[in-house]
Amino acid sequence: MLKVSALNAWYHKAMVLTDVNVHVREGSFVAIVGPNGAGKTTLLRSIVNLHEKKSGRIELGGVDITRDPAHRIVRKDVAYVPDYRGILRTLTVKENLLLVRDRYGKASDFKEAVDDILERFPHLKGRYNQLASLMSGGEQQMLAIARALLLKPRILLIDEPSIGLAPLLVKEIFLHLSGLIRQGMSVLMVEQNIVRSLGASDYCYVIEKGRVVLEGESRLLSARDDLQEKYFGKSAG
Amino acid sequence: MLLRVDNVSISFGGARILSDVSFRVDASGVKGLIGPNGAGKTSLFNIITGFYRADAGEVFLSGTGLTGLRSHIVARAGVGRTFQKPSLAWHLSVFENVLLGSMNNRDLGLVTRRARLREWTEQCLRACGIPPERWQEPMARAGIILVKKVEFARAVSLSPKLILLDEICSGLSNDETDEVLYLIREYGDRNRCGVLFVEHDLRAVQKICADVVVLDFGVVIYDGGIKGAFSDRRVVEAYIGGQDA
Repeated sequence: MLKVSALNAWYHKAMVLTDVNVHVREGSFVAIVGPNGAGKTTLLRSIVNLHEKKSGRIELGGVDITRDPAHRIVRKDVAYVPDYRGILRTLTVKENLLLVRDRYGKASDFKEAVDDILERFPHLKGRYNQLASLMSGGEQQMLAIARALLLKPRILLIDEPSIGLAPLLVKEIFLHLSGLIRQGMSVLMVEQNIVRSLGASDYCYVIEKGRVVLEGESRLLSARDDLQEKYFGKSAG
Repeated sequence: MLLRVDNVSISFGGARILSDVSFRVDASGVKGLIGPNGAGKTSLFNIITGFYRADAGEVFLSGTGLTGLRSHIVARAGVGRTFQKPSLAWHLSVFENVLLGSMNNRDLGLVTRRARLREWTEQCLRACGIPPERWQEPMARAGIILVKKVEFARAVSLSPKLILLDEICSGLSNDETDEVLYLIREYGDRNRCGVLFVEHDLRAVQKICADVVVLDFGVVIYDGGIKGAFSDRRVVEAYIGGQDA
């Protein structure tokens, strides 16, 4: 589905990612974990070409998208939820969702999809005509996720979805994502928390200082208790 | 009694965000303020610190009314805060960001000698675990842990009696969270400063808070010891869900 090969990325003269290879199969949930500053967010931004200072190759379904502009990549069914809520605060909830209207043909199809997503996020239903800026941080995060899902992506790139969300809601979102994965969607998620990531994902990459230092099937990695201490400090968990 | 919130209510665009909220914070120790997204936690912070004006109700700091005061006056009265979405002067240095706080310190004031302001700012930076080699770094280039520490240091530079922390641990690793929790506890104990702590990271809440207030849909559903909160049926249903946190 998504294949990142030999990716290097830099800011000014500082290397942020070095020779990163990541593979996301169809219908799989892949997690990228690592400490702050490891380059996780830059990896996602490089995939959707919001970060341009890079070399290497990014393929989507066998097609090279390395230099495609971000707005084209979205049309190839890639949805991206940035860290810190990439929503338009001066628009209402309804208007934010309308931004992906052209993904749908008939108005009735769009309406049905919106109704469905509002069922998933009842909080947003209550705030449908409210300005996004008047909502709490967590509600804005919900809106960002809801809008990405409304794109009906084949692959969802999601950066630290748990930031600012109540524990109950994080669980519900993970549950919902795994349902979508069973229907064939892929997820590439960036997270800090290794325990939560291993629990939710099928495959996991550990990034440190811009390099992949470990990868493997999540269920195998979670059986190794030396990992937390080695990569995440003694109190990880 | 350090902070008293009495019957506070507020609505936005017809939506009731807080209804008749009352609770108290002691002069020292860390009190948690938790609840689902949209429960009204940040709005409550904004009311206490003068960013919002409540529709009804009152707020007292050590018996003095804060109700209706503007945000910079509340800051000078001794209420420091950090922001959920860090709100710093990104074009200034780490040092200058904290200096801006020091300039609003009610004991130092705007007329104080520069040397004294500088010295105080350095003291605050040290107390918040920011080493001198980072002081001249441009804020825009700082990583998340430094950003969080500067937000905390700026609050501390006011010599606050009360600090409100809005998700200061979000986005931090467990080790970084522990470091920040240690700084908060150290500072609070040493300076007899009360802390009101909003956080979704329940591990952090359990580590640092003795008491919690739980908000749901703008109403206080629990106010008491942390242990009791985690076994309270309403709290579990509204916020935690299931057995594991």
